[in-house]
Amino acid sequence: MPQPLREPTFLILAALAGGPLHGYGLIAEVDRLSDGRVSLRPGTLYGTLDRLTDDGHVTADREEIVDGRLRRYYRLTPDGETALRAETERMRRHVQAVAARLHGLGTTAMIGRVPA
Amino acid sequence: MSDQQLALAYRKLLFAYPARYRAERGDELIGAYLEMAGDRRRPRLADATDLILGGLRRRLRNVGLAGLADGLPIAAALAMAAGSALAVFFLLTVESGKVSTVGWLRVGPFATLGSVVFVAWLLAAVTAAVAPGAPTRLAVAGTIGTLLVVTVLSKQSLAMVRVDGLPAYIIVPLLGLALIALAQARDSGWLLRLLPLSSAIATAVWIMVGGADVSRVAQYESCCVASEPLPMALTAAALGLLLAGTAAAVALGRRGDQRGLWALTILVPPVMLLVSMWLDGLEPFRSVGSFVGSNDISIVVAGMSAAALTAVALPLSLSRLLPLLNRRRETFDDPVS
Repeated sequence: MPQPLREPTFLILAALAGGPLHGYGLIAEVDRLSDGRVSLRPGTLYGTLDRLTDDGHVTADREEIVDGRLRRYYRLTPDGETALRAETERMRRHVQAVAARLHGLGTTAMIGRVPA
Repeated sequence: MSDQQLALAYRKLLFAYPARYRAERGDELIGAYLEMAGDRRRPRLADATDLILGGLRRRLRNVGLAGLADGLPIAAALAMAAGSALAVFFLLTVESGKVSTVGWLRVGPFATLGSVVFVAWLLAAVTAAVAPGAPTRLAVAGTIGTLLVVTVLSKQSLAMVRVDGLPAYIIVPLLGLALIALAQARDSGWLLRLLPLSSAIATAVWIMVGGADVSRVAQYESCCVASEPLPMALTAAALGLLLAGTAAAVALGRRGDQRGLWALTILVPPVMLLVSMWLDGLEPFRSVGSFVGSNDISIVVAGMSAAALTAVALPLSLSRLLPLLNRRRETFDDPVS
């Protein structure tokens, strides 16, 4: 059974699901996807990208020079897409299970409530 | 500072990365930082920390020890929990006693200057619960600062008042635990956030209901017989750390997550420091410790030797063992391949 992805890893893969991105683009996209809650720094980002590359989930796509700065783009591999889908499905099942319980809780509370 | 100067400042901060990695990825890393910089004129402290830690993680990865970085947040919470339990124990026993005599410094209701360290430790535990991440790391750094100040001031005279502090056999393990506790993560879950405070409360309750024979715990000088109450408290903290680390290794390991195993590996050196009194009677640590002669210092040297040995040998052994275990598990999971 694959182990659950950590949140920054999940968000990086999710950001790349929209297409290849370079380092700063990834940081901005992860920030947007998490509503500003997860703000990656380059040292942390590249550490995670190295691990994802070694695991075969991400690969370098292309390079370009913009304003004299090197931009290397990364893209999701088929294995990365599979991992992202598996994690999304795992989370979806959790959300469904909890939502069902909360729905039941709401119904119980309604039944137990005495009209004023 | 111009764009080029800022780039140069960031390049200097890449020193922690291996040279080959710097050559391959340095421009890319600096480019990302420059794009984030806006009108910033120089790197921030957080940028320096990020790049230095990133470089260290890369070096660990190069020698197959990337797991150490993954296990650190768990180890940090457990180390802080052990230190919090000890802080409460010492505050409610030695520090609450009335052993100080005329001419010796008392700190408020407490018997020695060492109480400052324990209060600082408990403040860090509270910070971990309410503000994990940078504020907690700052609080832990403050605790380390108080440890160093107390160490320097111990046995000194300040304005005709003698200052009693903490003995080396308590300072060194606490320093080991605090250095690991510095790695507190910002996004650790509630369990890890509340662990230090919970262990402090549990220890206080245990002492209050009579779990510890407080009357036998008079002062720190009851070193260095391992069966005395103070050494027993250190031993209990060591056992607690080992048990909690093993529980984390087993619980996470069942899901194929090896962070708990790495955390346990990180915790073994401070465990050695905590049980240095027992190690002082064992070879080869007894021989190493006996070089310095003095009883309490020889005990600390014995503990530090064992800590240094396990800090190197265990992670290296684990890094060689894990690939074999993983390969075996894959074969077991998929016997056809």
